Amino acid sequence: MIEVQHLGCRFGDFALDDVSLRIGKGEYWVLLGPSGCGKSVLLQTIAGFFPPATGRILVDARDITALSPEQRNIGLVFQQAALFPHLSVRGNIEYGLRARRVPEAEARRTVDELIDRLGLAAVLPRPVATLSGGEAQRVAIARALAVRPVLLLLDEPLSALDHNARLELQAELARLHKELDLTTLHVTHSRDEAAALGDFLAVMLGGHVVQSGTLAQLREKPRCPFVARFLGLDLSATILRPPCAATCLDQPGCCPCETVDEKGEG
Amino acid sequence: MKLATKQIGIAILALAAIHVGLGLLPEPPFTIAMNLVLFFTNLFVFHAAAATLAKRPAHTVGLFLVGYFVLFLLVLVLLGKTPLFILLVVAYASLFASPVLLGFFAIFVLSFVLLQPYAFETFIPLALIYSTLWRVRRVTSRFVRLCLGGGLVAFGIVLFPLIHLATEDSVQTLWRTFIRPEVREALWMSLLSSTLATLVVGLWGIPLAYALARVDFPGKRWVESLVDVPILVPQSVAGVALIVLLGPGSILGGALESLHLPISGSLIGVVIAQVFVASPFLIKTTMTAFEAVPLRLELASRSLGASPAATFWRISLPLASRGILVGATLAWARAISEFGCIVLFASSPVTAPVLVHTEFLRAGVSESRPIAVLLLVICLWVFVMLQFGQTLMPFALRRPRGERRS
Repeated sequence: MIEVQHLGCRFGDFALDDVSLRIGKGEYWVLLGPSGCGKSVLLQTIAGFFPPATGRILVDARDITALSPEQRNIGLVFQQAALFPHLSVRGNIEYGLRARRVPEAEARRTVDELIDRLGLAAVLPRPVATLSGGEAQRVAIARALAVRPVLLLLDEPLSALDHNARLELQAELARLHKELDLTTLHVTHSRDEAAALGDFLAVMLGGHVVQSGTLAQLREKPRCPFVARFLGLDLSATILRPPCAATCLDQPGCCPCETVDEKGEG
Repeated sequence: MKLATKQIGIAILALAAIHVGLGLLPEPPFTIAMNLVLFFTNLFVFHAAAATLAKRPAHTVGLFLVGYFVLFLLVLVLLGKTPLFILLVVAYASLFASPVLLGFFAIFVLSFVLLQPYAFETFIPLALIYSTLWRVRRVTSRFVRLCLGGGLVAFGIVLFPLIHLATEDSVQTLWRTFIRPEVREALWMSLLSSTLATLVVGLWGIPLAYALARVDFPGKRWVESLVDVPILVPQSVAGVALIVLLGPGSILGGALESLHLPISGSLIGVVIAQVFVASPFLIKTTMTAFEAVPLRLELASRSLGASPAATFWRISLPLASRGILVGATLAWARAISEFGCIVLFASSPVTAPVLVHTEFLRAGVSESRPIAVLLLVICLWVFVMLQFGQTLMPFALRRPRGERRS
């Protein structure tokens, strides 16, 4: 169980404003929002690269807000695979295990299992720089999974891929999630990805979470026109609530909605 | 143009008339035998020209004649070397069909006839430049070729004193100089001290460069400018500054001397002077190298459980190693070439540049020249080795395929 409580911070142009999320073990959350809404900052704050000004991050009720990234055991996959170009494919996957000084035999077993699971045997001998986007992203996912993270953060992992590679990797992510019971937070701006992958959705705008819940809940009762439009719903069918005027749509980042957690406690 | 038999006959008759006319002059410029040889040479030239120029546009005929006339003026009229003229003209007529060979021929004539005292040191660079230009002729515009050729020739002129110096002394002289103990000691001292200085700079310069590449703080621009200060300070000023701080009479220097750590006049002194002048080259280059390592690679490494220090050793340092080696090469080169600061501050373990200077003062150019050549050769050798070594580093950063700029 990962809990993000009232997280707030400011980093350059991006800011987070009282963001709260509750991600249960084995749940696949998709964080949906337009570019510049603070999704990536939220991920990097959870990963530990920015200290939040306010709020806490709890993993299984343990406060990890003050821990450095390497102590958190949270996996992170970037939009661009960010593989280490001077290491082999295998070297990339076992990097985290080596950094943690996992015994050789155990590391080999873990890496072999991941290579098998992600179908990477064919790319093993190739230099990292020659991998295609989809192949590189698979290696990056294997690398993040090798250390058995408590939470897997995916920062727009599919948006740099071409159409076919995206569909393949999307299916792969769904399969991995099912097989490994991963707790995942996936950031994207594509509602197709959100619909295909997410058990739960959180829609972000202007540094705070506008609405969160299952896709069905959000479709049924979108909190405001912004959420409705972002989910591709018919705007005319949506009830406009008083403070939430149509201005949301014109000026992203100004949404005055309060955060609501439709999912309820637990 | 296609010549008819009649035209060929007329041309041969005209040639014969010229040569007979030359022979009938009141003071003939050639003996009859030489005149005959020249006549046949010209017959050959005409024959070769008729063959090569047959299918060329008319202006190449003009070019051919201009080339012939230049050779005629240069070798025969100006230098008066008839046999050489015959040789060159025969070669010219044969090579005219191939532009690349003709170019080399022109450079050959320029170097070995016109610039005879500097034949080798002009021919080799010019031939290299010409072959470079020839190689890129299809992929570049004429303007770029002009910039490249002009720039390289001008640069060659700048470097010419060194190229000339390197060809001045015979191998025997160099060897005789090399086996002199004081020369070997000075060369050894130079190599040792500059290597030590590079290591010392690397020891603190690489961490500093890494920090400067990764952290933003108020006044960072000032720190970056300060790093460059040793480049702009005149060497003598640096020498005086070091003497004032560490020299024999100074407080710090005296204190260190009482601890049996003499600075001025010891290897330590030489290294300190070289560290001072060499540090900017390593730090600046290394900083650029670290800036080229994408930050997200470091973030990925940290999220995988590597500490900041481990990330530095496993990711940033290897990926920047090529740039760091370039910086170290530059720093090493700057350290070994240092003279002004050392001669003031630490002249007693004699380094090679100081020895060149003292030998020049003692015995003039002829004594100091072989030492200079030795130093030049050794420096160039190490420099070239390091430059090649740098390409062996496997860590060229390439953007993986399929990635887009974010």
